[in-house]
Amino acid sequence: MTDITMRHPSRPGFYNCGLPAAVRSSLAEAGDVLIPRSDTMPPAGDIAALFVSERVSPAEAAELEGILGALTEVSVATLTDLELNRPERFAVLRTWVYQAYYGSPVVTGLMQLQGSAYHGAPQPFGYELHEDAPVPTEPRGTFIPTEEVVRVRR
Amino acid sequence: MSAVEQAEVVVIGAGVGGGAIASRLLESGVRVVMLEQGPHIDPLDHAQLRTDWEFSLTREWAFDPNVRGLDEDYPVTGDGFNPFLFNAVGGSTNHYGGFWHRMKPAEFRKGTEHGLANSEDWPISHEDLVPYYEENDRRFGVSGLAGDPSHPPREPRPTPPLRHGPYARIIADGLDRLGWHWWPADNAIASVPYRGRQACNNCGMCTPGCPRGSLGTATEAYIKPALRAGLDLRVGARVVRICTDHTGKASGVEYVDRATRAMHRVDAPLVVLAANGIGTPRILLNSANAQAPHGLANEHDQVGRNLMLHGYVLADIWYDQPTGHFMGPWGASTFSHEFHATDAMRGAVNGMTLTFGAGFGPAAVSLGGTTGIAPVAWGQAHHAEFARAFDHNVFAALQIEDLPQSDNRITLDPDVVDSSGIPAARRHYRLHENDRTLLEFGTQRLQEFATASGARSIDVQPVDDRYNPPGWHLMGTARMGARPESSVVDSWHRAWNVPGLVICDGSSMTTGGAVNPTSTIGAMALRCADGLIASMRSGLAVAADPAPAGRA
Repeated sequence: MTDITMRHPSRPGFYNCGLPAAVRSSLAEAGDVLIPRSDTMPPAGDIAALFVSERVSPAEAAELEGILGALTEVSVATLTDLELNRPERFAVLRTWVYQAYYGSPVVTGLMQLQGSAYHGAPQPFGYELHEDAPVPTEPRGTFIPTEEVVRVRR
Repeated sequence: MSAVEQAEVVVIGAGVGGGAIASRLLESGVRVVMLEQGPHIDPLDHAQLRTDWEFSLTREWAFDPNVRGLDEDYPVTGDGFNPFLFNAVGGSTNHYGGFWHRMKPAEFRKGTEHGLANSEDWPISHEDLVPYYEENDRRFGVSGLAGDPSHPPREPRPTPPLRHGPYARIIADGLDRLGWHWWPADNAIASVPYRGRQACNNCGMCTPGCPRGSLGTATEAYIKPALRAGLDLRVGARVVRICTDHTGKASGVEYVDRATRAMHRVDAPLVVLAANGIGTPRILLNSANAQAPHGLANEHDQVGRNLMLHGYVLADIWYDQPTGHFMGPWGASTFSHEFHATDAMRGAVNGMTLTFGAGFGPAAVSLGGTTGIAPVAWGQAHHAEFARAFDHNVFAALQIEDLPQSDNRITLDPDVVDSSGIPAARRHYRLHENDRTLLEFGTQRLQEFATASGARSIDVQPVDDRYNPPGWHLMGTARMGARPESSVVDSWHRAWNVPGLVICDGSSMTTGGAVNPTSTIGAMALRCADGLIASMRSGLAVAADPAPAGRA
């Protein structure tokens, strides 16, 4: 019997598809509008363009091309319009950008620098927890033994 | 077709049911061939080692095989719920939180209690399963605290209670303010090193498996010990049909090697089917032959019917104070059985579990948490809103006992096939009015909890036309019963009218209880194995008694 190993369609390069340059550029612009730069955090544009280009499937690339290609320009106004009038298309775009941003080691590293305990990949480090789980001080509750189960009145 | 092989027992499915039975049989000296259509999962395959782990939950670690679309997955068409199952060694325990409940005595007696829809008493009792619950707990290294007065007294858990993030205190205080029952949840997660497994290191995410082996999976509990005892495990082995001889007795299994596309056949006097609440009826229906034209063990048209899932409402609860929802085991921290028993004053029978615990990571929080109802704003407000959401979330789930109904069922899709050309499963599920009433009642309780625990807001999935629950718990589709007219197997999991065929997994459950079922599936499987061993040692045929069975 042949051993079959698991495949990983979430890993960069799995689909070896990428995005056309124009779509990648529009996605970067959209990313910067959806998550703009702050005093401490970078904008999402380049992060999203790279993340998506490495992971997108052909069908997803075509979907993104359709969404971004239909915009006359990438701006707060056009994305607001997209969110209002084509919410399902907007959700696709937002999902890619948010997933990319918060899956980026640059972003999670900056979060940590600013005091968050979140350290990105859950393993191998996990988290140290020092407090035992709370225990009821006044236990409540009961159960019905097998022999006491009777017909309920409805 | 390669030459026909001979085995003593063929087990279909490497999940909890199949794993427990195979392990027990091997310990008794029985040789077992196990067929699993999925792969082995290497520890490095798990997503938690990657920063983009949340993205993998939309790909190879998605709950839904239709989303994953991997070669080992079979399509599940139809509608009514999201079909969640995992095809790999370890089955769906590769992809669960390890919430670990036992069914209570009354949950085995729903025919006596109300008999609504197709509710029947189980042909066994809680007490029949207690020794097997205990052993199954030891196999899984369950963690938890003894003394919950809402359960019959029981042995101490094999490992102490887990530690959780700050959310556990928030939850406990909220439930105390309401005066409701609560208890630290049991989880199939080792809190200390246990039988060669590492202790949980509180990484915050259990559902894409556990690279440390801390999460108790069927692989850790049963498959690894079975392999050490000589299990002949064949991965990538997709069952095409269960074969029968001229008398109608199960005689073996035909399967296709997904890698080579070659057909194989293993003959055996005993076939154990444990392929989950969707996979099991699919194989039975795909095994139709001249003697059983409507599918194996389906003389009374019961195969695939009475599908239960547990009605679900998921909620994101948001707090001003930090909750640490990304740390600690993802397995539940706390549950409440305040509303677990039937109370006719609610206008419905059956009850519910309220489960509370950790949430997901930053990507999920940015997209609205578990429910996705309220994604973080985009634009200039994004960073400030994200800071208010991340580390401020608690996950809550309302889980009700749904009624078994004939029309909630798994059938075969007449048009769609899997990558081996085998007809796909098709699903159909609708809530009973009783289920809907319970969900509406429970939703109000979740909102009360949010207020009592000082939450800023709560996002609750609605029970309306958009209701599309998670199908994590696939139960009842080849259920155990006292009569062949309303069930598929007898009290020892022997298929009615098909000697030599045993079915034991979530599909065997007569009713579903209001709790997560994996603990019960494991206990049933150990008991089933003891029945098989007794039959084998006594020289008895493995065949259901056609006479009405009493309670075991």
